[in-house]
Amino acid sequence: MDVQFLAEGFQTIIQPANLILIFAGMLIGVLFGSLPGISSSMGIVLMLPFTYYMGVLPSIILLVALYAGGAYGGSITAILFNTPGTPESVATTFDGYPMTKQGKAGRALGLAISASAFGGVFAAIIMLLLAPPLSKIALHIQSAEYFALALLGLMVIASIGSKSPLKAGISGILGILLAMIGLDPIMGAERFTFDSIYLVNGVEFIPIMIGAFALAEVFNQVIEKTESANNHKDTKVSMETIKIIQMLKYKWVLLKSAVLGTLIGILPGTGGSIASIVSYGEVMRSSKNKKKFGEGAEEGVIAPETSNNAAAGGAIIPTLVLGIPGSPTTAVILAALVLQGLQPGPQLMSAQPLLLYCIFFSMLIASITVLIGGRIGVKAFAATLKLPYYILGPFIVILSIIGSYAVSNDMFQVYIMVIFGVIGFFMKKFNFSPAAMILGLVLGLMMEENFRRHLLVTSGDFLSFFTRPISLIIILIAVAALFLPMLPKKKKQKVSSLPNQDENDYGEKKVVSK
Amino acid sequence: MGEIIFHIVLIGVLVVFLNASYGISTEGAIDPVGPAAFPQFLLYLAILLALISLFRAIKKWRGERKTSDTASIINLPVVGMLVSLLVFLLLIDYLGFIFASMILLFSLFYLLGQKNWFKITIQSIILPLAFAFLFGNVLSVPLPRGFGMIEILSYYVY
Repeated sequence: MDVQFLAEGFQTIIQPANLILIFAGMLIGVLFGSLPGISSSMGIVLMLPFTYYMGVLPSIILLVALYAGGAYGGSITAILFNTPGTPESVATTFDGYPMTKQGKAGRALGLAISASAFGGVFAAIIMLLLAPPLSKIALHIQSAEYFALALLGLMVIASIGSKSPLKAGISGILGILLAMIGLDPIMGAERFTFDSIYLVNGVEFIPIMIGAFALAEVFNQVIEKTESANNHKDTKVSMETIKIIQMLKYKWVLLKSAVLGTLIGILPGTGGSIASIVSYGEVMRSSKNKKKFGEGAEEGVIAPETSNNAAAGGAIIPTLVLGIPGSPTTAVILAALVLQGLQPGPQLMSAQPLLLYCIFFSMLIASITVLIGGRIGVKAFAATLKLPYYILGPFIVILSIIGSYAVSNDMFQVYIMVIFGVIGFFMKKFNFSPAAMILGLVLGLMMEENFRRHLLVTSGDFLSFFTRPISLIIILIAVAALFLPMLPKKKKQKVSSLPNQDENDYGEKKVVSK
Repeated sequence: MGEIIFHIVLIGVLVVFLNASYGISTEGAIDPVGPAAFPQFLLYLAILLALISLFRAIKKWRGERKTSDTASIINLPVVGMLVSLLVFLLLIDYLGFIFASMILLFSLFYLLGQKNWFKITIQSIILPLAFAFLFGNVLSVPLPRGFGMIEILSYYVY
């Protein structure tokens, strides 16, 4: 950690314009997070067009604050209406909604917001402490390890982040293949361009992301007629203030969930939804009174909310240090960095030393202001849930069109967005994973380039991937991650009795079986 | 059945890509793998996995047929949305962003369930103007202006 950059980062952040961006980003994040049908990935994707013409730091400050706010926002609807606003808040419904039914909605919201703030601050501090030394180590990591890390990211999302590992695997490969369109990274040969000049430079990430995350979701919402947004008439809720002393009662739950969330967030390919479910399961497992879980246990709200916010911070670490996104949402942030002309990877921190500190303060301030903003805004956010989808849907469609057009001021990108909107819709419908496809797209070229470069250096020695210790360990973890779900069911049930959730799937509300 | 069709289309696309991969020039490749081998390996793997998935989908479909479960995959509003988007894409070069968006929004508001014609009309006029003003002026996005008179009119907004 460099104190000079820390001070410089702080000076940058406290500029009024940047503070406004953090506050606005946090509020928009909470708002998007609370609206069922808009996930954090989609929220960030929809805000991208507003950042195209900002500088690097302001745009990243805004997106990171939005990301931090979104991780909390999902809990509002999860607690009040048993409808998780984002996949990350699915586990919050397990005890949050029973608390509402017991007339303790205000307390549940208060606990969720305090836990979210703790998780966010914890992960931001860990990020600040870990990222600089890790980035120094990352500079020594070579092609073999990069290939192994990209492989790990894909294996993890294929194995634990989806309902169907087979289909998630296919989705991931499709993403890698999309990344192969254009010129190959070693010798510049044209691949899969089908004689189109638009495809020579490859496909842009953003229109595909907008299509798969935003437009596909609009189609999905229209089909499922999820008009939960205008069904919630009773929105007279006020949040209970939870004093620090009351939270101290749950210090171990907070700490355990924050550590778990950060660690799971750091792992490439995983995100807040997995972190929150794992933390919930762990807190329930280690509790003396397991029976109260699912009946309105306060720990059952604290654990997932701490964890999903911590995971949001944790996922930034590999994104910044290695250029490997920790979650589908950070894949979008990574694409935003690329759009700003930055080259993700281990050189990023030395090329943009201020970036880490600005992200740290942005996350820190957003997490703290969530306490204030969330409290003031809870009534307003609950009121927005009355917003009918026939207003929200067209709004998203127009923003999606402008967002993809503005990538290169070209209608071709809008065609791509619409095509991937349709593809993403069918993928989700048939349990393929658009999130895995996006990760494949972001990781694909890096994966191939490092694989081939390593073979070039070692004169085609395939075994060298297994003789380098770090590469071998990562490949072994990747293989373990792939085969873990194939363990006998009985063993698996012991590990977790919780439902498996797709990163982007929150349509089905699960109930923990007793 | 939809799932099976999706799988068949997917496999078809993968085969087209596989065919194209054999046209990639590998002349003068300096690395042992070359530009074609990596995508070819992935394509064969994807086709294999997609075939397994197709087989499972067929098995599932046979089971569903027995229980006569026919959940709808696509409905009229979604088809309408797609048609509206296609019309928008065809018209935008001629009508420009503002007028093409008005037509698109008008149809989307209706298709998604808005019933009040007055509101639909007002929203469809105001929203594109507001978006064009915001993105055209504040964020300097050169949105398509259309041709002739429409192009001239657009300069009054952005």
